[in-house]
Formats: sequence, C-alpha cells, structure tokens
Amino acid sequence: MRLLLVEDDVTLGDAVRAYLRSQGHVVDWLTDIKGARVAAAGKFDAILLDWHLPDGSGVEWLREVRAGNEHRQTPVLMLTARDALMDRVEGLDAGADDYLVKPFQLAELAARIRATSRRVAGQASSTLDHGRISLDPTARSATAEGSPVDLTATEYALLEALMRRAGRIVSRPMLEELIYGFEGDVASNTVEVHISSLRRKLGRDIIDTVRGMGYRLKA
Amino acid sequence: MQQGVGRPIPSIRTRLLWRTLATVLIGTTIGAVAAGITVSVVVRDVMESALEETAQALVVIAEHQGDVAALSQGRAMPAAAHDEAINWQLRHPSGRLIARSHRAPDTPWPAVPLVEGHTKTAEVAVYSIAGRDVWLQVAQPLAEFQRAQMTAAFAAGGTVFALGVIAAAILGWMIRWELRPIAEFARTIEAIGPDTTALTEPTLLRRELVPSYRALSALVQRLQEKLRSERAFAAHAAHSLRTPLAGLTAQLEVACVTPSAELPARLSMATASAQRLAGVVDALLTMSRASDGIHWSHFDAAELASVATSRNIEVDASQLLAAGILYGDFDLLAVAVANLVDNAERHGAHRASIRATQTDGHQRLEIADDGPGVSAGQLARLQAALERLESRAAIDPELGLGLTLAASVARAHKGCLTVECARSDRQGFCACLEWPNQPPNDV
Repeated sequence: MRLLLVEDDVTLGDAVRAYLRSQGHVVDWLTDIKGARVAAAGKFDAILLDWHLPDGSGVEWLREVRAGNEHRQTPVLMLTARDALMDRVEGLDAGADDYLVKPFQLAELAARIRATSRRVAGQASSTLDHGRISLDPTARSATAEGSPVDLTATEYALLEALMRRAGRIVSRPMLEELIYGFEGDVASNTVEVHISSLRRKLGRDIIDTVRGMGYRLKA
Repeated sequence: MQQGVGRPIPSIRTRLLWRTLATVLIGTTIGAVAAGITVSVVVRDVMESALEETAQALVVIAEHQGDVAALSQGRAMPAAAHDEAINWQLRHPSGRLIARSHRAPDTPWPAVPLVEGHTKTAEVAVYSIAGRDVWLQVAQPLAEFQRAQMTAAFAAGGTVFALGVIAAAILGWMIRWELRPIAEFARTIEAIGPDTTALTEPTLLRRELVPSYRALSALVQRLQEKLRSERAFAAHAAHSLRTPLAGLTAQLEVACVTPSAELPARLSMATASAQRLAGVVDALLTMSRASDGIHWSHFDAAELASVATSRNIEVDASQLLAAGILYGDFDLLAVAVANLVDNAERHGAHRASIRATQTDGHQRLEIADDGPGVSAGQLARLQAALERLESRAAIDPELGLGLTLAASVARAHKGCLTVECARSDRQGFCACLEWPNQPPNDV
C-alpha cells in the first residue's frame, strides 16, 4: 500500500516509515501540513496523521481533506498523544477512520492500517480475493487456486495495487506512484517488466493491458 | 447570596435577640401575674379572716350594747364555729380575762404584758391596745403566720421556678432552632470533596454566615482551579512525554529487526529521542517549580546568551549585551528562553534572535524566529489559550510545551507571555515575555 505519513517528530516518523517499509508499504513522510497539502494531490491507500503539527492542527487539515474530492474515501488513521474521550470523538468526527494513541506498537499500527483499509473497501475478510488469486496482506503472500506463488516485494505491491482497484484501469504513472512513492527513481519500463513477471507467474490472462490507458485486473 | 428577590437575609443575632426579648417579656409578664395572683389570694385570706373576726367581735359587742361587764368571766364569745385565723382576748387592766374569741385560750397569753404594741412569743404574735378600763390583745398563732408565709412563698416561688424551667426549655429550643443554619453550614463543609465544583446554595441563610459562605465558595473555586490546573498539568505532561516516548519505543522496535549495519543509526535516533524525553521531563519539572514560587535576583541579561550555544539553528543573542541588569529568577527565565528557541527550531526556523529591553517598570524578553509562522486564526487561538492560562491557570494542549512553560514562568513573575508574527508579512514567530522589574509584593 502507498501510505502518506504526516508526523513532525523526526524519531517517530523515521521509525514508522522504516517499519512500514519493511512491511512492504510505500511510505511518503511529511512533517507539516504545508507539505501534506502538496503530497495529497497524489494517490494514497491510507493516510497516517498526527494531530499537532508545527503549522497547524492535523484535525483541521483532515476536515479540509474530507471536504475535497481526492481523499474523500481514503482511510485516515490519527496518530496522537491526545487520549481524552473528547479528543477521540473530535478526531473521529473530523473524518478519521481510526485513532491510535502514542506510544503504540508498530505491529498494531500496521494491523490497524490493514483493518481500516479493509473496512473502507467493504471487505470482511483479511485477505484480498479476486478470481483464483488471493492475497494475504498480513503475511504478504499470494496464492493462485490455493497454491502459493513466489512474488518479489515489488511484484506483490503491484498485484496488491491492482487487486485493490480490481476491474478498474490503473495508469502506469499511478502504479509507479503507488509502488515507489515520491522518492522512487523509476525507470520508464519498470512497471512493464514487473507486469510481465506477474503474468508469467500467475497466468497470461490475469492482467489486461488497455492500450494508452494502463492495466486492469481481469474480472 | 440573597434568599429570594429583594428579600433581605435574616440575621441570627437579630432573630435571637427578638426571640429572647419576647420570651423574657412573656415569661416576666406571666411570672408577675402569677405572683400577683398568689399574693392577692394570701392577702385576701388574711383580710377576710380579719374581717370575719372583727365582725364576730363587733356583733357580740353590739348585742351587749357595750356592756363589757356582761362579757366577763372570760368566756368565749358566742359565735358560730369557724376557721379562726386571728384570736383576741379582752382583758381588764388588772390582767383578768374579760372575754375572748372562741379559739383564743381561756387564760391570758403567757408572757404577753399589757403594753401597747407588738409582742411575739414562741407561739403567737400579739398586738395589744389599751381602751378605757379595757385592753384588747389581738393575736395570730405563729403556726398560722408561718403557714401563710409558706403558702405565699411556695406559690410565688414555685410559679417563678416553673416559669424559669419553661423559659429555659423554650430558649434552649430556640437557640437550637436559630443555630440550624450553622449546622447546615457544617454539613456543607463536610460534603466538600475533590469533585465539588461549587457550594450548594444554603436553604437557611443568615447574614452572619454570608461572609463565611462567600469565603468558602471562593476557596472551593480556587482549589478547583488549582486541581484543574494540576490535572491539566498531569495531562499535559503525559501528552508531552508520549511523543518522544513513542519515537523511542518505535526506534527500538525497528532496531530489533534491523540489520546490524543500520543498528548504530537506529540507536542514535533512539538516544536522541531519550534526550528529548529528558528535556521534556526537565521542562515539566521547571513548570512545576515555577508554580511553587520563584527566587528573585539581579542578573546580567547577557548571561541568557548561554542558551544560544549548542543549537541546530543560528541564535543571535547580541542584543542581550546592551540590555543591562534584569531582575527575576534567572534559572526559570533561562529555561523559558531555551524552550522558546527549541520551539523555533522545531517549527522550521533557521535563525532566532533573543532581545531584552527595559521600559518604565517592566522588563521584556523577545524570542523571534524566521520560521513559517502561524496563520492569523492559529495566532488568535494561541493568544486565547495564553489568556486562559494567565487568568485561570488552565493548561491548553494547543499551546505545546514550550509556550506553556514560558507562560508559566511569566505567570510566576506576575507577568505575561504574548505571541505575535515576527514580521509584517505574517512570516516568523515572536514570543514576548514581559514582567515587572520589582518583586510582586513591592509592585
């Protein structure tokens, strides 16, 4: 998943980013609202948001985000030191999907990201299923007709990005953004290379190429 | 504190005074009436007895047309039997008994000479009067005399005693009744607990208790404010500690699964977080100390320049050199300045400047930075939070640790902290700490 982390504490932000990256997520980390506003123009699978930021309130920015079109449905997880009931209510009412009080365990953070994403996508199961392919985001494993498929981290991320948007066309730039984030230095044919690798491992008919538009997971 | 609209609060003293006066007046009136009735009854008995005896004597004398000789032989006067309270004897100047009332003895009263005036023996009190060739001696038995005395004394004394007992009981009840507001006041004090936010309005309020109620209400409010402040401080402390603690634990968590080559970098981050944690603890302790009182002393403003060292941003403290001698708690002010510089660093400033000035009766420290500053709305919220902190010691998480600490230090110096944009284009941030140049008692 591609995640937007907005956290001004350098130590915490660095650790969260490192951990989530180790879990296969792409993390774009920003330390203020000004930067987050710019970043939010991109596509994200979830946003992790601190309450107190140097240039304003994370909750205020969340209201802005929910009022716009880009991330109306994107799961948002508040990360904050404020644990009072009224704070939690205010955060959730502002549009947060979940609320995690600092300090927290990184494993719990990752689990909550998965759970929030499932809930927002309307999934009850902890796995992503499409046709004969099944993805387990917790174990970061894939199966085809019940048999395990050995995928690299990038292949897994690519497949997950397509499965989360099953039936929809996903453009190559969007896939690059979802897989590498802002920081990735991506060669022009990287996505094609990984798509053909996925076709080789899962079957040629699993991903359609829509000429001039992008890729789509076959229904 | 007023019971009812436009209705004055009654006073215990006035109520007690009027009720006591009323009780004493009524009691005295009843006692006087009772004593008067008793005395009049006794006097009436004596007078009636005297009248009856006189009538008995006169009727006999009338019947005998003043012939005293006819009354001779010392016989008792013929009279109907009656309860005779007064006896008499008619005696010849020689001492011989001529006549007597029917209860009088048939011999002259012993030891009663024929001398005009009062004579008292062991048994009777006698009054003797001389007539022509005759002496009249009127006597009352002492037993009868004492009985009358005792009757009058017991009747009057008993009535007054009974009235005294009744009056005492009424006064006792009345005092208890009038002291009910004090008992209610005591119960109100007893009911004060850690969650009491205001005293319950008393149902029985008296003027004498109004100052105590007001003082107690003010005390409860002050204690509540103090308690709220301490709770807010504890919450603020918890919030302030949580973020660096989260960073520390997260770094250690990541370090546990990090390849050994990256470990030093992770541990360095964890150390930085622990240092920040220690800084937060120091700041919290300083805030706590600021609320306990400060140590006033004169110090050179240039000494505050020491906070400029070991910073990740450039700090210009050159303007402190010309500021001269300041008066306040140097340690607290230094910590406040250091935290405001830290704030500037955390909020994206590359450069900060510290300036001290002295105007008429006031000293001012300004910490300005070249950071992105805050929006007008956020500036207004910060200012409002600072005013709440100043007036009610109410700590607001909006302020953050640095501003809260600096405001607490300003408050301890009986001064204030204000925030403004450092530049006219709304860029930069400036915190101004202003306090009087004399200790509060001398201000």
